[in-house]
Amino acid sequence: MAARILPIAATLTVLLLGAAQAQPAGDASPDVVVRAERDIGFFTGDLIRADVILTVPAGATLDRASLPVPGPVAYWLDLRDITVVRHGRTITLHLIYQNFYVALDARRMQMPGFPVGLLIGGTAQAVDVPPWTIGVSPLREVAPPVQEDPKAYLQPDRPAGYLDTGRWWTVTGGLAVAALLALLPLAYHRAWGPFRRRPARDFAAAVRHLRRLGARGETETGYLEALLILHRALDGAAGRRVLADDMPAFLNRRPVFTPARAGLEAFFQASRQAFFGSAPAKARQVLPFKDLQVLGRSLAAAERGRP
Amino acid sequence: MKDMASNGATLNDLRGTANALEAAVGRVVVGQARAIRLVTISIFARGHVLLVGDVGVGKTTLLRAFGRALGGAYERMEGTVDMMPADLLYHTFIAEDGRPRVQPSAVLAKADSLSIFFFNEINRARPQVHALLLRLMAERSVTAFNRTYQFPFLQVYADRNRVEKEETFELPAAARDRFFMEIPVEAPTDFEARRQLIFDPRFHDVDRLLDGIAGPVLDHRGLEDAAAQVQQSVHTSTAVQDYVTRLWEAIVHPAAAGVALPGVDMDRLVLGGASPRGLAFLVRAGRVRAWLEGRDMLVPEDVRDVFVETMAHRVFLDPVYELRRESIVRDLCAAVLATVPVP
Repeated sequence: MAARILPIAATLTVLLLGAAQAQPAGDASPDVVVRAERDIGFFTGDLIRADVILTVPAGATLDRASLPVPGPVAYWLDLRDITVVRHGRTITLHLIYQNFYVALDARRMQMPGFPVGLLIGGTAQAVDVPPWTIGVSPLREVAPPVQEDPKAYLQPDRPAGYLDTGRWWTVTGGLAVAALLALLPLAYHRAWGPFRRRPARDFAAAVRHLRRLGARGETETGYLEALLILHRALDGAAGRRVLADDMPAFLNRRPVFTPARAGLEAFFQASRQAFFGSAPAKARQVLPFKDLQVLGRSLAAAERGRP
Repeated sequence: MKDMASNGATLNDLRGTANALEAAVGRVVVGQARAIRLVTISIFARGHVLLVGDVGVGKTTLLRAFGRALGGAYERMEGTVDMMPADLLYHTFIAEDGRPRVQPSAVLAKADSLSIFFFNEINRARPQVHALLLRLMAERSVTAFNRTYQFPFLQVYADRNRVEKEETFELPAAARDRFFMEIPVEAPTDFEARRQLIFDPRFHDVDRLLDGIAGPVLDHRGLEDAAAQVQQSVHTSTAVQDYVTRLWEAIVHPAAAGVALPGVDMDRLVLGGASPRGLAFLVRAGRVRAWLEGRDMLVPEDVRDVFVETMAHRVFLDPVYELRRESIVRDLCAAVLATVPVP
């Protein structure tokens, strides 16, 4: 018995080995699988999603130019979108078709296949994606119960959903405050409102300087310094250097200082004696330091009252 | 007529004489109070003057009137492109016997008494003539006939033609700097004065007009001493000295002094000029002005009053700005005076 079985087994083994050698290597040929989400129950306008899974040899690349282009595929079918995802040797084509077939009865329609180009080791190879079928169904008319009043067919409006605007009010408030704060530097830059440029109060500054001189104003150098302080204030108020002869013109231009005319005349007389007559003592007789301070204060007061 | 050379003449008397001189000229030359005041200042400062102004505004009349009121001789010469220095000194002619003669010119002949020499259109004369004139101005002497002629009382007035540029020789910087003042003589702006000048026949005959000045108001021979006396009598304090020095600094380096003019690059505006001689002339003129105003001290107002006339023609600008010279220098002077602190 064993002697009869052995030659058969040996023959089978040889046949099997031979068959194994004749088969191509599993790695070398690409494998195509089409997976649809369902294959029945499609109405007019429905989207048909399908994944084509290609298992390709290592090193093979997909020739994207060979893929179908979104657009009409048949008179009843559009390709809406195609996406390619690759994980290792698996290339998945996500396809989205749209069905425009207006079915009058339930029937099967064939989704067309297409070739996909692969580059394997530098040579191009086409792989056919096989066609598959889907079941399309007709739309049936709705037959609600008969109502007497046609308005009864209408359903009441759905109440609008409640949107919580609290957060947006907070954001709006915050942005409004930020906008107001941003106005501050702008107002400063354009000299608006509280930042409006005010004329410098030259005499007010001069009075402060004179006060700081204090007792030193009674000395000769201090007195000369005090005269200079008032000179510079006058220059500042006039916008140019004011000499004794310019005083009438200065008062014409700035009538607010006219009440101090006598004081100014004495000031210029004293200044002339002190600086150009080289006689500070005589100048201090004409206009003592105390009177100089009084003049400064009256000029500062006039300055405050100006328009 | 007062003998001012005598020691008895006081400064007050002198001032009275100066005022009388101004009044006498003012009677025949109307609407030119400022020019009369400036010429008076230059007379009492013994400086030579450059006159600028349109034709026919009365420059010659003004000078002849001053010549008459000062006494001494008056001579006038026209600058021409073919004039040579010898023409200024020699008079050549063919005598009755048919032989050529060379005699001193009118200017040379009056050397001892010439008080006003008016050189009209100085920029029409050649640089050789300018050179002779500069010597005459600087040294008050020229050499001719192998001897030196002295002009003890001479004051030169030159007029510059500012309209035409053809066949003219612009005064070199050195020549301009020798002039004490550049006095503008413009047509009067006063309506009444204009009407008088047009319609009053008194102004149509200059010789008869000048007869209105009866005779010399003062003795031109005493002016040198009078000028020295005025210069010594007016006090210049340290403050005003500082002020003038600051003015000098500001006009030479306006950018550093914070002086700015619209549309002008202040760093390159001023090339030079404003010499120490110019500043000395400024103070000299300022002192005479102070004295004429009845003061014994120089104040910034005096300096300011004569600043443009004594300084403007000595400031030399970058050639880019030279064509707009008049307005730019005037603005520069005004800006410097408005910027430099006093005292």
